[in-house]
Amino acid sequence: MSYRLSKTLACACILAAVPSGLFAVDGVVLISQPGSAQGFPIVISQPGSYRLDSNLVVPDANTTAIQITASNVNLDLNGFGIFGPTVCSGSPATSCTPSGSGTGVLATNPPSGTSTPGEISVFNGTVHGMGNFGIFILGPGRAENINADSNGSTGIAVTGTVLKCVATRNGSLGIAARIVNDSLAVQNASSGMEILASGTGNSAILNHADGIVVFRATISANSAFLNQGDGINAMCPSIVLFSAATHSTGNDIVLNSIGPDTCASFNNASNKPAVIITN
Amino acid sequence: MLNRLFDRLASVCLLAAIPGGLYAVDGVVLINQNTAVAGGVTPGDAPGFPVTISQSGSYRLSGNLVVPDANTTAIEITAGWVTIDLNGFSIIGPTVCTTTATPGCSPTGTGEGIVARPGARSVRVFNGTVHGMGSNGIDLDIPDNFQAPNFTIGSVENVTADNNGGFGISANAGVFTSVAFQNGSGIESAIVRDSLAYSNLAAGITVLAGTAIGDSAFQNDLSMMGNPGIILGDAAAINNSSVFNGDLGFGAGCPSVVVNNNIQSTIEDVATSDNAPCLVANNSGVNRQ
Repeated sequence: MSYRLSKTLACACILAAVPSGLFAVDGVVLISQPGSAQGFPIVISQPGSYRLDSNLVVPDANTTAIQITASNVNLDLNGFGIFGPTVCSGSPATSCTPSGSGTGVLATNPPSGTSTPGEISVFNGTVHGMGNFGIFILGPGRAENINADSNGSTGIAVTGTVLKCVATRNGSLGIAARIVNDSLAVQNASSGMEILASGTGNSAILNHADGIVVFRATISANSAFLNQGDGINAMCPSIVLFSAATHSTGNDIVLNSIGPDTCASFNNASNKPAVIITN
Repeated sequence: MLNRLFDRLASVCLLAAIPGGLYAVDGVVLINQNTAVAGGVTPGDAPGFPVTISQSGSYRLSGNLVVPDANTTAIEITAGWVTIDLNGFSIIGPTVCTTTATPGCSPTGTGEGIVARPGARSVRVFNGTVHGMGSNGIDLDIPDNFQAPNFTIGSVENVTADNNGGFGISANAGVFTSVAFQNGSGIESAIVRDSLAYSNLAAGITVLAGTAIGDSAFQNDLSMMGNPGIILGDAAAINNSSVFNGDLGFGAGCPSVVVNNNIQSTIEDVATSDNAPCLVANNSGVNRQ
């Protein structure tokens, strides 16, 4: 083997073994389990594209795995998971231990000169067993193809959009976002999902409280099954369309009219007639 | 001295690139026919099929996988949280299904393309093809109906499943932008979105306690065995197309919603069952019920 080829291969090999801060061949920054010297949280303070190249395992329920303090960040979990020690028990979940302050992916601190973090996307992976939230993003964030399971608080809380996500057995809500589409919430300790603007194609099954809470929003073609509160619970003004709700412990569809605000409810199907509550 | 050190490092680096237990540059474990035959992809993975995934993480095909017979499973998952990127490659078995003359699949068997075993908690599969398995193409639907504390969650995206003896794709959480054709049955999930099921021997799409939006089911159950193009159980279906299926456009267990769909069938457009009310409205076709 020539000296030059050996040197090149050796250098490439050494580079590939650097645990974090490594660049993939396409320029994306790779993130690995940090060594003891670096520790958690991994802080992303620069705009750009980031990708996990291993699972991340935090040591306790008070440790946050990744903290994002910049705007315009794209975080690809690359099929890997962020794992903590929290376990939620009950079926559906009723309690989670240990709880703590650690979140899987956290973006709450606005970058300098702005009021909120912006344009943060997290996709393609799992967040399991964090002491607090699985994913918490303030501002126009997006979570896609994420499975949030057995986290101490809400599985996925995003001010922006949640797409094709699954939230199971979390200690509070499964999913909370302005827009929720094509997502599933099962066996969470509170309601399955809380939708603040619009939601289409979602399903909420066997959650401990309501299946889907609609807060001044429009939802279409959703399903709620076997939830232990109400199936779909809408705070007016809201619109509930083309949805199926059944086998709820409470009512299947509830429209809460507060003051002059009313709800519109069309073309739904349920075992029980929609209940309109006025104050 | 320096030259020798570089030689040694280079040798170690090259060794790490040998296919068995191979890692991509982004840490994902690569699987191909050679690694399947060699075994050791994860602890406990014996040589040959099935490839057993016993550790949570991210896996990617780096070549097609070809199983030798209809009773052989290609990949089985026993670990908690697993993602499999088919990376545009295929899992291939010997089964062929025919819809004309004498409809059926042959040879049938117990082999599945990808299957979640007890112990699997969340599995996502995307971007490839599963063809010709003796049983199901993809089976991520341990039959616990989300009731057990440790239920399995399975989702599939951008997958084509054809000529499999059982379901093309059965994944209890969601199936997105996928195609199932010429299987024993097409697609089964809670959420089916923007997917296509055609020329399957039984039902095209089955949705339980979920939603179907933007899907198409056509020419399923051409042998007229009473299977609908789209089956709903306590589900909502809007903006789908179910046409030219054997007997039924939709078969709905109520309460379900069937609204704004394009339906055309030989005998009945929408068949409803149970005592609870279904909502059937604003569909095209002649609305035979």
